[in-house]
Amino acid sequence: MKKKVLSIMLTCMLSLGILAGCGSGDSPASGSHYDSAPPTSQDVGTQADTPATDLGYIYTANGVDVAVKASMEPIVAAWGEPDKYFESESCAFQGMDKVYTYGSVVISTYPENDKDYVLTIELKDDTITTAEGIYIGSAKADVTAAYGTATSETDVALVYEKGDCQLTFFFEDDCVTNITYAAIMN
Amino acid sequence: MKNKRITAVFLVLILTLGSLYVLQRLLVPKYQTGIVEGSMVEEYYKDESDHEVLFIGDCEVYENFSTITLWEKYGITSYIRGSAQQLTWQSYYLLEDALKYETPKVVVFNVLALKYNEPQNEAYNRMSIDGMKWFMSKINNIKASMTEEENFIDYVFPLLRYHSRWSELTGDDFKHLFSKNLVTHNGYYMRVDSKAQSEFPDPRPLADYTLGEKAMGYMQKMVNLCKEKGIKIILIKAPTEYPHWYDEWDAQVVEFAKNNNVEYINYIPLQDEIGLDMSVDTYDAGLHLNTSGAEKMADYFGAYLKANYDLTDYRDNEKYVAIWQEKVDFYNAMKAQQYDELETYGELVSFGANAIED
Repeated sequence: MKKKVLSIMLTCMLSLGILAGCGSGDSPASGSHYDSAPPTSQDVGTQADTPATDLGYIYTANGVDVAVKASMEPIVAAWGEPDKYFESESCAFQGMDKVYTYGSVVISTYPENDKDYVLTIELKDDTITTAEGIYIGSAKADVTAAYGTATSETDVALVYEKGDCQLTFFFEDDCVTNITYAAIMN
Repeated sequence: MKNKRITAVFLVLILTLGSLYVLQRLLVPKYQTGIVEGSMVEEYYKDESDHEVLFIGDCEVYENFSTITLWEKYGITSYIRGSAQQLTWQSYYLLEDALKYETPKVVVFNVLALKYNEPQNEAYNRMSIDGMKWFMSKINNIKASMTEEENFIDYVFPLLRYHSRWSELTGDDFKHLFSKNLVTHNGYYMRVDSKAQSEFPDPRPLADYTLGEKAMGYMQKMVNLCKEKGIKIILIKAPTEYPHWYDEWDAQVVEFAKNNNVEYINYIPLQDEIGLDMSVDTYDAGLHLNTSGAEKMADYFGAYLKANYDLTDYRDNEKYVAIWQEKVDFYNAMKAQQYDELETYGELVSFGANAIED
């Protein structure tokens, strides 16, 4: 009889042990997003020697490469305090969405595992150019010459996708009016 | 001998299942302090009275309309079936679920969620789905909402998802193992603190302003469902200005409303008429209204509902008066507690982000 009681207890303990013992990932309610491990680029940082393979299109300024889904920390460290800063708490405290404005560059971030990662990079005027030499005011023909055939096109924009990045050029009268790098999520 | 074996096997089974059940109850998040939004969907079932007005949607309904003001000023019985970042298909299935229990006269749906056409993230999915009772609406909601990383089985057996919460357990997990407190006022999430609206970033241009087919399709299903049941549906855009609501999106909703012969009201341009002062009527710099703002919004909306829909003023009905007096008392008690904390500590300590337990 003792053996039976022992085997019952062992079975119960084993079942609980199997369930409780594996892993220690965040729960969805822990205040961080569930999305498992951040993309590989996030740990690489954003310095000029960052490999470009997984990052898609990269915006470079003052010796710093800024890529979507990359950590915001080294950018703030390199560029210092932004000219303008805005933050908004997401519903149910799933982190802060932040917007940093550095002159004509606006970077928005998303939170993950208590860190901020680049969601979008927006170029606002003709004082800055993309790594491929396109700026606000460039002609549509210059964009296709530099980037080739767009992944998709709408009435107002050409959209290029590479890696985790969607690069969009907006046009008015065939002139670029806005350039946005955006992270492709999910 | 054979009987003993059967008894032993049966005992093992009962003990194992019982242990797993208790373990699951312990490990699933309770959403009782700090992040209370995960309790909202489940809390609806505790409210046994019926409602003539049912709000459906995201934080733009559950933080912006005081259900108690609707009652006190107009005798309107209402409930907000809201949840954090509630996606349009989740709104549809929550509405379908609610209509199993009651048939309101008016359903109000906030349109901001139309901007999302794909599942977004598990944390919000869990808060919108886990609390639902197990009917087809929940199953279909899970199927429509899951991100690529999620598994259906994790919703059926939450223990599979939450088994690693051992290290995150707090006092709340033990205290609310088998029972939960109310965290809302008929779905309304109270915040009395105030933080003035600041300048928002310029909205980014979009390559394509077309609202997604899936989101629009589920709004169509909501409208169809309401029409089938003889319920009036009102589409609204709450008066808060961030996240940005593009004119191009607005035009599509206006067109949709016209084609379906339903009402759509965008309250953003009506802030002044409502009486909102965004230097005091918001607790998070303009994203959501605080209680003074939500009471103004409810007052304005209640007058509109009263004037345009055939709603009952239940303030003369003893049965409803008794039910709602309890709700009013709970509302006033929480309000007093929050004002108390503001006076004592300069901020809320038992509510919101400060109350999240480590």
